[in-house]
Amino acid sequence: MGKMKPECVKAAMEAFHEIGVNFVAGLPDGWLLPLHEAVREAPGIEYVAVPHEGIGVSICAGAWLGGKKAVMLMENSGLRVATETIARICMAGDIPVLLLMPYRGDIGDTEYWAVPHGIVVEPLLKALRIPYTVVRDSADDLKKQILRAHNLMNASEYPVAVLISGDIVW
Amino acid sequence: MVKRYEMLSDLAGRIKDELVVFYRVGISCFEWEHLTRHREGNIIIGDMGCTTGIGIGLAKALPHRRVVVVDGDGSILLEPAVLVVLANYGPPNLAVLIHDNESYESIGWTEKGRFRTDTHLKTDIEAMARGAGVKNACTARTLPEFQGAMAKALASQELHVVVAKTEDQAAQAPPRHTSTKEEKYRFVRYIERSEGIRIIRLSVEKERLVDPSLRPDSS
Repeated sequence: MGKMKPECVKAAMEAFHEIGVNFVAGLPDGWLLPLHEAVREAPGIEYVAVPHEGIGVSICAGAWLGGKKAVMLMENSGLRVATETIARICMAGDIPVLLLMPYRGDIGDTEYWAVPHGIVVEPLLKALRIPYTVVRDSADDLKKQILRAHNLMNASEYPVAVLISGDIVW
Repeated sequence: MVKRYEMLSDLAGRIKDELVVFYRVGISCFEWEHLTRHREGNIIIGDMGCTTGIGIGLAKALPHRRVVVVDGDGSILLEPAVLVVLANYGPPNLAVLIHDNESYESIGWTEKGRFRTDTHLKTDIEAMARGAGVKNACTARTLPEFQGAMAKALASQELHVVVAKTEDQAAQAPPRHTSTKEEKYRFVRYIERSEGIRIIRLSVEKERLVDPSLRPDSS
């Protein structure tokens, strides 16, 4: 079972630190599990474990309204679950949330159950008009793309997604 | 059963500096806006299944302020897992009022009456909250019970969930014509002003043109 590489976890945490992320809602998956663990242990970041990705988006939206810098960590299958909340809150109200998720079902995935997640995720992001970037190459690139996604999230007042795959995961 | 407008009138009289996250579905929000005269600490946002989650996030972001959520039975039935998050992560500065009229109010009615939710049958939201782990959960079926429950919830240093069983009635206030976007800007500007923080940052480049001593707090 793959996991996010340690240097990539470090790069993501560096990006969170530069952004000033202080609130994370998460529902863990195998690939992002080390990042969830790092966030939970990080001083200055409050982590809320959610049983449902839509609730995670609602909580992040509320945290943003109160001035927190929030990130939602979830599997890309969770985007399907969160779609209702994203449409009802983020789309209706222009409320931003930074979404970080693995690209399960991407080229190279070995798992049959991940295939539907890969088929659906990009069309769904496009349907929701959520700009996204797929990071497959290096820890440095991951950090840059998280920072850039956050910039666009602020400027657009809308969710932006970062998907990880390829060499970000071992 | 409590008359909805009486319940909201009573609640409006209790609200002082609290931030109120009020669910946008149905006609209750017309009445809340009317009763509270568009107060700055209101945000009417969150459709079915979203409102309590927003309140959790807001209360966590501003632990020094009391947050009151007003949600509905249909909304909780759509997303009951939020009760699990409330129980395990719900902050002590949060009180959640679930207005349980046992019906889908926003869709109106026909000569056959309202379309009922399953709280009309066997489902008990207080029991669901307790089962999820919420310690302070109760159901109010009369106005005095509601008054007692809300007085306790608002004075408490712990999370409370109050389920109020309410009667159907036509809206006692004119309709709203306010979008979620307008709600967001009005509320966020109020939070920015009252908390001395910057939330909306639309241009980093323009901030760089300003003397560093005058740049807005980006925290």
